[in-house]
Amino acid sequence: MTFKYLRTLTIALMVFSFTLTVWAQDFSSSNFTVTAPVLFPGGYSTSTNFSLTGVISQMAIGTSTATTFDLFGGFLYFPFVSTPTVTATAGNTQVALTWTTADASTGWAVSGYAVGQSTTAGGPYTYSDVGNVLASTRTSLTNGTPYYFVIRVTDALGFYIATSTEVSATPTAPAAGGGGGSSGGGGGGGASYTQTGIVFSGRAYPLSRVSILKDAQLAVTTIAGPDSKFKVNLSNLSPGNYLFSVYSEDSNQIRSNSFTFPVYITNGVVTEVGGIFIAPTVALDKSQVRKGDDIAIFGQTAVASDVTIQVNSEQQFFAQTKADANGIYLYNFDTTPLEYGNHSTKTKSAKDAEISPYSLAVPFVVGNTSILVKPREKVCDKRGDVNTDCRINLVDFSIAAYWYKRAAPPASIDLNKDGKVDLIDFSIMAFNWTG
Amino acid sequence: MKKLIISLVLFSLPISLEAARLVVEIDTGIETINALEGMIKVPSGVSIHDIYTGNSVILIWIAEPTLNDANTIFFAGLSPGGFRGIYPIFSIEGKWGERDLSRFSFSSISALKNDGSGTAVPVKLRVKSSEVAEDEAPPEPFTPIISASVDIFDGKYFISFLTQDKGTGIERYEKAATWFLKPGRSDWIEAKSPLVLSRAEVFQRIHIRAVDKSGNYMEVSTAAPYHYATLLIGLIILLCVLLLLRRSFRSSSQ
Repeated sequence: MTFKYLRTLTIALMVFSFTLTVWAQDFSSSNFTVTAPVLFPGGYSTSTNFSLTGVISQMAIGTSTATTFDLFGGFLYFPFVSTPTVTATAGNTQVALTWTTADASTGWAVSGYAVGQSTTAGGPYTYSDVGNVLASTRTSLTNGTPYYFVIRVTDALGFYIATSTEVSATPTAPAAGGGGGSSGGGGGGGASYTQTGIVFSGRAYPLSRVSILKDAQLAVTTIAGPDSKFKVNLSNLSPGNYLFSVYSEDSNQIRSNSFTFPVYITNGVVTEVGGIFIAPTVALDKSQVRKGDDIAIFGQTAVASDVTIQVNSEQQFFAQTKADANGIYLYNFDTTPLEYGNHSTKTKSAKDAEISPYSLAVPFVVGNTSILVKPREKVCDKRGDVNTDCRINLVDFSIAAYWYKRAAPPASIDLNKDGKVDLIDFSIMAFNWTG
Repeated sequence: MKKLIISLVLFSLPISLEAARLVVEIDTGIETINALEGMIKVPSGVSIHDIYTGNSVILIWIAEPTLNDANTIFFAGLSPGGFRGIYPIFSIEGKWGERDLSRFSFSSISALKNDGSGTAVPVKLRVKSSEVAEDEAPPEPFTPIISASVDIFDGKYFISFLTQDKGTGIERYEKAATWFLKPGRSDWIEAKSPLVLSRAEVFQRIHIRAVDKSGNYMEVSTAAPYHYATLLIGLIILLCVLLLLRRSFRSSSQ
């Protein structure tokens, strides 16, 4: 009898333990499958108004909004935000800061920024919220004292979700006697702006060539160090608005997408631009993959950085891998869950709390057979390279401009194949511009 | 009735006609765009003296803003890499009254996203009063490129050049071709990019001068494809002539 009770108790305990144990399991219906759900990041779902203590299972990705709270439904596998690139321009008892937009997605939305200020490199910083703006001038500073700044990104719930790298600037009193006068009336670059310039710093790929474009023309190139970091300066600039673009090329000569940002150059001041993080390059071993086979997603990024791979299809898939000591990463993605048809992949990189923007998306097809990418297709395949010299610059523009709104342009110039050269063709060319 | 007509006429007249400058601005909102074109209808009674492209967010003009006979300014241009936010496109100098500001109208505006496909996105354009700034700085340094393509000019060599001016904007470009020396004042002729090189010019050094609307200029030069080869052949011929002269001088002295 006792044995019978003991056996019943044991079975009941086993059943009970199974029902209490929470396993990551797949949810599915006729419309969707959620595989291995994970709630991330931890401790995120609490406010003064509510507390989310468990997984709300089987709900769609999206945002539910009420007057008192925002509920980000679904499983926040890889919420994304890029760290802003910050520009610091010193003035008289002030420093003008500007920064690029922090792009956020898959669960995060940027609602504002805070400026952190310190007179000690590395902080601690005193933060002040500045709202959802991309510029702030810090005033009442002491001339001759170096100041250090970071920009923190705030999400829709008021949490800090990213912090830029530090930039510094030293406010300076204007030189007595004015100076700076340029020799009006021309004379082949007679302006005397010897102190006017800009310094760029950031991360690219180890030992890669980094190109800086100034107003769409190649201004300077440098080689990143073995640690992927680069620093380069440009001097003798006239005061005014400039658009600077930065890109790099990996060891397979694949170009990154350009990172472009506006900077106002002030006379007699060296502006510092810090925290540039060039997006990884991406390539695939197959242009078409047989469903169920692996497709190799690889490229180059900063040394030993964490690479997040996103595969875009009807459902988004994410994976993570780590770049090696040469910045090379490789991930073999199992295409079993993908539908037949067109897909694409893109990657981003994270290193020491800095996060790069997403790379360009590379398309591929899931079909019944696999087609390998030819090695030559990896190089010089950018649309807009009209004269096929592996660069997209003024020469290509000149050729295209000749055919602007003319009848029967050559096929190589009609980039969107609509039978004419118009603004769309120039937009495609401008997107792929190398200078 | 007569009083009403007079007051209507007076109302339609600008309050004061003064030489002033307007800036045409773009607000892209959250979109990053890299190509823009459109037209601005200038209100009747407004006179335009000049159009300035200095400090523009448009870096490469497909069609520089110019006033046509229909009192309309057409413009089209690019900014490789794209831009997002509020930026000046160009400025207009002329005579108008304050009321005329709201009578400038935009049409056929096309702004294309920096997405590699040229997707059209909505943007806002507006005109607002602007200060007339002094321009003492020359245009930015630049590098002309000589190339050839089967797609234009029957495969002949052509030179492409472009620069920006942070003040008033580029007024014109000038070209000169020389063998050795710097070009003289009379060597310069007005030029537009791209420019076909003549048979002689492919052996010479090509000088390009960018002149802004205030008269400041930046001058650069580049060697045409056969310039250095020509110099080398010339040098060899010169050496041969010198050797022959020396030999004939020696033989005559013996």
